[in-house]
Amino acid sequence: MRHWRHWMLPAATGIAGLAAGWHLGSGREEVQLAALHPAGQANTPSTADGLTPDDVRRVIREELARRDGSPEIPAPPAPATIPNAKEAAAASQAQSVIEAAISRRAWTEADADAMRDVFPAMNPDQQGEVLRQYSQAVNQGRLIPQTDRVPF
Amino acid sequence: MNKVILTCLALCAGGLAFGGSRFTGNGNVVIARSADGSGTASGFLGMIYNGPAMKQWIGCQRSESDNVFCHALDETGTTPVACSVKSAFLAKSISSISPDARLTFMWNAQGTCIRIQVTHSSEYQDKQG
Repeated sequence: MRHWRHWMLPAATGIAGLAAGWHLGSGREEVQLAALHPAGQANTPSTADGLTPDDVRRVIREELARRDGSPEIPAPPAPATIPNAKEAAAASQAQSVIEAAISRRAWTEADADAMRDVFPAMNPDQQGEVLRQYSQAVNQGRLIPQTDRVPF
Repeated sequence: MNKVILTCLALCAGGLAFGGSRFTGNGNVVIARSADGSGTASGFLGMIYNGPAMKQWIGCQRSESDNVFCHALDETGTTPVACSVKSAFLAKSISSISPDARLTFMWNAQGTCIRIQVTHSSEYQDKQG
C-alpha cells in the first residue's frame, strides 16, 4: 500500500499537467484561428482545418519576411512639415536661385550668397529638397560650380 | 666637439628611422562615376590641403536637422559631384571627420548619399599651416 502511494502522487500530477496543457493549447489554437479569420472573409474557401489559401499565403509571407530580417510592419513615412509663410517665401526664393543657376549651367559666388541669405529660413524638409535638387543637377552636369565655397 | 656632432647625427638618424609607416600616395581626390549616375568620391583631407594641387576639394556638412550634404571636385576641375540625404546615421559619420582623415562618400543614381566613410590612421598627415 505504501509502495502504491509512492508512484500514485507523481502519476496523478503528470496526468493533471497533461490535461491542463491540452486545455490551454486548444484554447490558444482557437484564438490563433480566430485571428486568421477576420470578419468579411466568411465566403473564402477554407481547408478542413478552417484555414483559407489566403491565410496560408499570408503566414508564409510573414515567416519569410521574419527569416530575411525584414520588418513585418513597414514604418509609416514621417509626416512632412507644413511650412509657415516665412518658410514658404524663403523656399520660393531658393527655388528661383536654383532654377536660375541651372538655366545658366553655373553655380557662382553670387548664387552661393543668395542661397545663404534664404537657406537658414527654410525648414529642414525644404532645405533637404534644395540640397537634393542641387546634387542631382551637379551630378547630371546641368550645374557646374564656379566656386570652391560650400554652396549652402 | 666632433663626438658631440656625431652623437647628434646618430640620434637624428635614429629618430627618422623610427618615425612609423606613412602613406606614400598623393592623397588626391578620386571620383568614379557609374553609367547610371551613381558614384564614389574619396580624398585625404590633410594631404589635399598641404599638397601642390590647386583645384580639388572634398567635404561634407550636416545641419542640426541631420540634413547631410557632401561634394567633391578632382584636380581636372571638370567633374564636380554632390550628394545629399536626411539621415541621423550618416550625419554621425560627418561628426567624426578630422583634418587628417580620409573621406569617402558614395551616392546612388538619384544623388542620394548612401555611404560616408571616415578613415583615421597614423599613416595620414594632418593639415599644416
